[in-house]
Amino acid sequence: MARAYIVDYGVGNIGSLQNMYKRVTGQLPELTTDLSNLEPGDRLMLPGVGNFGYAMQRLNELDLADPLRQLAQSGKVAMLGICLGAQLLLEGSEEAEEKGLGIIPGQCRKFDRAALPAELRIPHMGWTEVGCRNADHPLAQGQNDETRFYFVHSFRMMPELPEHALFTAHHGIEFCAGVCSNSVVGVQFHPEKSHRFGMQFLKSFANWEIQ
Amino acid sequence: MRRIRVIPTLLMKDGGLVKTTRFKKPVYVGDPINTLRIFNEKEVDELVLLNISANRHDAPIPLEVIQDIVSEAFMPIGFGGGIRSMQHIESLLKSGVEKVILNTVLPNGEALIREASGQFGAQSVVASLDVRKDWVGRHRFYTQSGTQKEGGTPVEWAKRLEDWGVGEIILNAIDRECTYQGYDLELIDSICSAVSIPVVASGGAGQVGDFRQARESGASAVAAGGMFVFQRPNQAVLITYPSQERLKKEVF
Repeated sequence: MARAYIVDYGVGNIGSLQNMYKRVTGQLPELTTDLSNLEPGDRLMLPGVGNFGYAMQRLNELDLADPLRQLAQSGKVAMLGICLGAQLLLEGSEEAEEKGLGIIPGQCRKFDRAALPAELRIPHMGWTEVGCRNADHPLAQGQNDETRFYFVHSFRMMPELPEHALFTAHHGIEFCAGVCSNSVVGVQFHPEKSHRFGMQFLKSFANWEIQ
Repeated sequence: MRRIRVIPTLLMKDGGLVKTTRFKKPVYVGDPINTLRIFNEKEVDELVLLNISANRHDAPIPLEVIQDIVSEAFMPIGFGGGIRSMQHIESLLKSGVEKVILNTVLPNGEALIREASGQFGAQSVVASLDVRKDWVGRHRFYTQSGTQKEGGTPVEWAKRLEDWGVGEIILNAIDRECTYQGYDLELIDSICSAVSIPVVASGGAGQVGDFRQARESGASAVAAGGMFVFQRPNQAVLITYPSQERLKKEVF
């Protein structure tokens, strides 16, 4: 049976992710900083909260950035970036000097508060409905009109190529709520904090059949 | 439709959950984990958990206890009470809390807020702006569980805290806590107009219609305590939360 791992680099909430993943799959993901013994079909989750530069520094210090790139390149492991962990998949962010993982071409930019109506605030915090660009995608399974996720972020992902944008959501403007490339997916929202909608999503991720 | 978050506020004291009125008279309402499970089932948007023993030199809640509570929660949790240092903030965020809520440390907290906000992101640093009216009806900012009045107006404080790097303000009208008389809309409007970050209205909610009024005054979220843990008129403990259908129809 494929195993599940969470990259444990001291950035982000791991307890709820572990618990929710276990709740939907029966399997408790292992925390790890060693990516050398992953096997084809394994699941790897990259959580993250906070500053883009700080998170990249941590990944670099722990020598995790290159192994993550290689795993993504191999296409053999299903990888899920969550919130800041998703943003790190891109090439960089307006938030920091540090380069991102560059697995998905594109940048992260801050929401422009001036372009939003006064009642919409930055950070974008709260529950938002999510649309899917590709309803046939295995990770969109089980989503419907009711599906909503918890978001908390000030920066948004801007993938260069439209085919890398999987989910969209609205906060004054439409923004990319999920990116995807081969066996790698990244979501701006927090499935582990999104009740049954998050459980459904993590279940889809656990069952995702990658090539 | 503009969704706002509807947040139950839970108060911890000596390991149990209590509910106060105007920051006084704590009444026991139950066990934290059981209550949390009920709120999980009701799919609440978010939870605020405040340790109100923190200012009275009692032992702080052990991190493992917070971790146990938070790991059970499939919704975001903000935790506050007695937080004064970077180490404490870091250990709370590592234990799985999404946000730390600061109050007593705020007046001298510029360095702490800047550092925490820089490292963990503004969204994880929340200020509880506890406000009470003075004898001529002016709003005043309080710390130390509503016992210490600070100089300056709440609007001045809100702007300053935003500038220091706070990502959200819980605007807490002490005089209305658990009174069910509705939110202080004038206060909400004044703070929402002064800052760009989200503002959570707190203190006074008695019915779902109050949420709508707070939303119309600019709030990004509403918090309520008594309304979600007590059944009126006799204040029997009953954990409730409005359905999505009702919120969509009457609030968003």
